[in-house]
Amino acid sequence: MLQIRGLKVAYGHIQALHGIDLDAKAGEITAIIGSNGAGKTSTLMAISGLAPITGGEIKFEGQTISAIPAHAITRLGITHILEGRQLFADQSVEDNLILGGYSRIGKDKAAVMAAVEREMDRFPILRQRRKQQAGTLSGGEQQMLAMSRGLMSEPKFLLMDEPSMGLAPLIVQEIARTIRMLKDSGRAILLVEQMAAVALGLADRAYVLESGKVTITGTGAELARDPEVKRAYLGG
Amino acid sequence: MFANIWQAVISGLSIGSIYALIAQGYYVTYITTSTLNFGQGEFLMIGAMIGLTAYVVLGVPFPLALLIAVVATGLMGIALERIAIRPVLRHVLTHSWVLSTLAISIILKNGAVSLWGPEQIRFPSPFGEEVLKIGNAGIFPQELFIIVCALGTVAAVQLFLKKSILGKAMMAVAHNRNAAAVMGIDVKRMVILAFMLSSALAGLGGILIAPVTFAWAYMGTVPGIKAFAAAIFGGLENPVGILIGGLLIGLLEQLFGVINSNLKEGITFLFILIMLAFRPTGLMGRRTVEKV
Repeated sequence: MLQIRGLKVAYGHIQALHGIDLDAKAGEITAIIGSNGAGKTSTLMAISGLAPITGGEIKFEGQTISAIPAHAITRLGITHILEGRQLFADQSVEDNLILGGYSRIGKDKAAVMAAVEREMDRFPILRQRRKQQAGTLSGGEQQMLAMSRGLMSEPKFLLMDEPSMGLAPLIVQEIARTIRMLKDSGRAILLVEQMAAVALGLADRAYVLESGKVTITGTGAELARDPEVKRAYLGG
Repeated sequence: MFANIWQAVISGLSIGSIYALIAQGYYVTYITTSTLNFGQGEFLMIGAMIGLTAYVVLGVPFPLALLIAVVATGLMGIALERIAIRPVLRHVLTHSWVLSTLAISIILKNGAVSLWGPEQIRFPSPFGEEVLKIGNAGIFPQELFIIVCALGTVAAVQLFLKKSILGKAMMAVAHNRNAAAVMGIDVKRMVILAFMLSSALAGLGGILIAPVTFAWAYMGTVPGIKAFAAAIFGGLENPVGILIGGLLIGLLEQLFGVINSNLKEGITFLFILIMLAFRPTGLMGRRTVEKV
């Protein structure tokens, strides 16, 4: 579904990615793990059109997307759920969801409004908070809203950056359950996580990034057994 | 004396609502791009001159002349974004937009002088010059028209930003560019829209105020600065504060004008200096609480 070859990203003189290869297959969860500054977020941002690509190629369903602007990439069926939720804090929960469906609201407003209801069924707390400003939600509620907002565009392929960040363990479990459900509904997911154990438990395939390079790849289970991964990312 | 004060209040609200109108233009470009068009006053002037040409010279009906002025300045706003904003914003941490928008304002002033001459030209009010008696004050109907039209437009802009999908998308860009982009919102197009809206608001202000102040190439400079004061004074990211700021500045200068018309602007700005010393972020500076 997604093929990355020799991808390089640089911010001015700072090279974030030094030419990485990565494949994400339809119907699978692909995970990227690694420490802070390894280039995980840059990889996702390059795919969604937010990071400056200086070399290499990204193909989605056979089409080269490396030069397409972010808003147009969303229309191809890729949605990026950004690190740190990045909600529109001054706007209501409902408006955040509606804006998530912005790419198709001109064509079919009824479908967008139906999707708002569907997301509120997925996370009933969002229905209770419907008219509240998104900035007033708790961390867990914000993550739910961020995921729902991302799903409003009916993506085929989801990029998720650190969905567990700053959340209590129980909520992390709920988020993980939702990610698995999304996979079961046929979506491909590229997941970036600091919590390597959670990510490898979910992943069909996983990549370890270090200083802008892929160092280890394998299935989620293989990486979870890998002594190097165990030592560096799973706490022994 | 009482009649004077009452008259100053109406005039103050009238001129103040023009400041508020232009200042809303500063607001929309500031929230979407963190830049201001320091040529807003000249867009006001262009609105007045185009309105004058259409209404007086060509004899077009006033509502149509108003529409022409607003559309023309709106289109010039698109050009402004392309020429003076987008090229300099390629570098994130630049303040070159201050210079580039001032450059545009000087070019517009020069252009206006060569096109329309340097004289002050009378712009007859479509509502006539007959003075209305309200209480014992004499008021021009144009002044009332200005208040209704300018405040109505400010309300319409707020309604657009809060209620329409396009307006909500523009606010989303203002709040978080990256998040807006991954929702499928074309950020570049929203920025163009912001400059178009901002310039059209100034253009509308121009054709509204010209019957009161006359139309001429240098008419925009002082209102541009006062609208800037209204925007800062009100709190640049707070549309309600900006509205109050504009009306207050208009009221203050007209009321001080009753006492001493030579000192009215000096006293008004002295008042603003004192206020800023107590509230550096303005009257209603933004204080939002955001959970992380």
